[in-house]
Amino acid sequence: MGMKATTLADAITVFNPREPLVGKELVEFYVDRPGNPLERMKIYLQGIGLRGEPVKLLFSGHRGSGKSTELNKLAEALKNQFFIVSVNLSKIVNVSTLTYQDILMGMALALYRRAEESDAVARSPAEAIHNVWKEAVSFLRDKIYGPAFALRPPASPEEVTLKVSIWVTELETKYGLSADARQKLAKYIDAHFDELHAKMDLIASLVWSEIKRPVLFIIEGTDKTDIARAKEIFRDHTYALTAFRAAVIYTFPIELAYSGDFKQLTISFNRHFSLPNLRLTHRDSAPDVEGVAHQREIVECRLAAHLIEPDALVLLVQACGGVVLLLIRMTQSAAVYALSRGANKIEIEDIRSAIAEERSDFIRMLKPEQYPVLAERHNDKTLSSQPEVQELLHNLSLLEYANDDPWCDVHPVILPVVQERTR
Amino acid sequence: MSMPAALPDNLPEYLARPDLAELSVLLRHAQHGAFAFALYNTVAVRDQVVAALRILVAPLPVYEFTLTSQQRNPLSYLEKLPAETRRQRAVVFIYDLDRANTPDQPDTTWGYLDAQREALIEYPHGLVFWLTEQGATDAAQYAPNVWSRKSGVFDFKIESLPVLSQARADWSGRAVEIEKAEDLERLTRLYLGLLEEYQAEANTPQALIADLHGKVAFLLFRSYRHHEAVNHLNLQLEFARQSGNTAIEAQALLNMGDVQNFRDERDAALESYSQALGLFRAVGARLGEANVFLALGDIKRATGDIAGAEMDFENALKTYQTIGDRYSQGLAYYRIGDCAADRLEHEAALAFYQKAASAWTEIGLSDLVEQILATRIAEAMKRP
Repeated sequence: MGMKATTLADAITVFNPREPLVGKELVEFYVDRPGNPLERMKIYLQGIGLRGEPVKLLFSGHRGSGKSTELNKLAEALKNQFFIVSVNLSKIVNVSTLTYQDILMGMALALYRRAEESDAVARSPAEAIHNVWKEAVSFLRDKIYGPAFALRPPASPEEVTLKVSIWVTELETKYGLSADARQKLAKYIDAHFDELHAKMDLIASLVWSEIKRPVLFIIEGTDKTDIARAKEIFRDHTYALTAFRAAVIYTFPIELAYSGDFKQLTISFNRHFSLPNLRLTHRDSAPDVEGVAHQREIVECRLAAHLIEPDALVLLVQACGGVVLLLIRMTQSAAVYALSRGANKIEIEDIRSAIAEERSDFIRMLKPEQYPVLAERHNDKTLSSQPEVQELLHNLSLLEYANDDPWCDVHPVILPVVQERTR
Repeated sequence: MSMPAALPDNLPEYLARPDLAELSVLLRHAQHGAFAFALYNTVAVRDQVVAALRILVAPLPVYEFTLTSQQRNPLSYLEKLPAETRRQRAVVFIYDLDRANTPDQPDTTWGYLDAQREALIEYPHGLVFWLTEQGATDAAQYAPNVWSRKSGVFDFKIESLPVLSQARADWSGRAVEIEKAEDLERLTRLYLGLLEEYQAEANTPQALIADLHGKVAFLLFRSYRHHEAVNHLNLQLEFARQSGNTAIEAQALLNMGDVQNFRDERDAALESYSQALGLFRAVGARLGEANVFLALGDIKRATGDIAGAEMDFENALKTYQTIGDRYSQGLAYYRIGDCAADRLEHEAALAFYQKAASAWTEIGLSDLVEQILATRIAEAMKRP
């Protein structure tokens, strides 16, 4: 049975701004986009990664541009060639206080868990696993839980699997919730990250010897921290993030791509890929027919045609500025507006209500001094490394687009207010 | 806008607005859950909006969770839900995200909220975060990852000053009534919010602030949050003295005595009651005076001075009879009965318990008869 919304009530569930596409929804609702770097990333990973080179990639895009969905799609496409370990750091730690130690620990935990889940480690040589186990127990006993922590060593390789699973769960819980545990771990990792790398390399090699697939980490959450912290992580701890022998894709805050030290930041990474927003126009303001068509398709593949007036769809696409998350949220809002006024389809007034809601949001966020900057960027469409521009990119009032060179424009929802206030 | 029949037709302006219908539509139909932000500028209206939404989202279960400076993690709301229903659809109202921050840690709750986004998404709950306008601005800035995944912002602010004043006055002017256990948390949240709103305004009468501190203190005392209750009682005393309102000052001293008595600080309690008695007498507040006698009688009986206690209870009873307060007469009667029972005069005790029972039954408080008197009556009847 298809999952496409056939009623407005369905639309409220189908257009869910909380979660990226995954599983069946990914199959049914995914729409490729012009300028999508996914294919290039795939070729890069297949071309170099599969030859044994531990590729390290950076992946950026606006908040809400669809990065998570694209990474889910990439994982789906590469799942038979790579041993994919997806890590969403937001699920483990507070990303606003993210450190490189958090990233490494999150990766190590996810690798153990994934290897255990897929039986890749369980079928590996028992001795190697016993060593990993012994080290893990002594680490937990000596560094985290104290002497009260006492687990008997596992009796058999089968039991190892269970035990590893149990302590990873315990560690994840402890690690995510306790500041004290995090500090202890951070100090330990600082002093021992070569060991941690070696352990990750060991597991990766066990996976390779068992299933003949290289490990590919997909790390989400590294784009959600603030710019200063992201700089510290990617600039000052490049070695820690790149020295192990597994391929990685790190999400990366888009604002950082326009910082003065971007080149220095990325020198140790193989490539930086950016997920562009869908365009409504070209830089010269000529309509981008292909971009608009893709945005329509995103709505049309999830929503039965009779549920939205054609004019309303045109206005919806124009208003979202090419940001997929906004397109999803505004469709959901419009469905709520339509249903609450007793209508059976989304009409232009519902889209106007959704626009007004988004506009209020921008007005709430923007400071008076930001309006002139937005007006200037609307005129010259030029991106720069100025902090005020980075801030506007961060709050989505300024959107990055790309043809050949990247350019920017003011979000269409807030543009009338910008023009009015800077007249 | 269509409304279920359960809501009355003559809804006030702050309920008869599209945002109420839109929020209820979202909560009813978002099968996988949603993040919604609801804006308010007075807790008086917030409470009524929530009451209306409870009706509109039925049969979905509704839970309420208040963040505090001790509990700033929004994910803790899960502890309020029965474990077996945590994975089922529900609507959860989360209050005081902005108030739970302290001046030394102004962003903490936002950090928690943002950090818990992925965990919050795991559950099919419609989460409604109640925020002030400033709170919404802060949420957008400091919790951008949750803010960006919201399904909507619903506005329940009141723009009209007279309506705003009336909505607040409806609550600040009434006596605190706790009918069921859940009322305690709801009313504490409400009166704390009301107090904050009035304090933020210039020209709020100090007597009103004093009265609200007293109400908050009473609720906190009933929630066993004695330390906080005492803080509010001290503030009630301070504002009552500043405003020259002797009746409120006397009430604050009586309340303070109750807290001190509960904490076994009997000397301090006696001192507070004695001061309260003097002030109530000075302003001719007979009910207050009787209430002090009742409290003094409780202390005396607890220390074994049965005769002294009985005298105080009888004094209280006379005044309650004079002013025709049947509920308080019941309180005095059963305490006099307790004194008789202490002296093993069970027949006399039974007579007073029965007087208390008829006073309460007369005014429809049979549940109190059941809770407080039934055992006493049974016990007295068993004795020779």
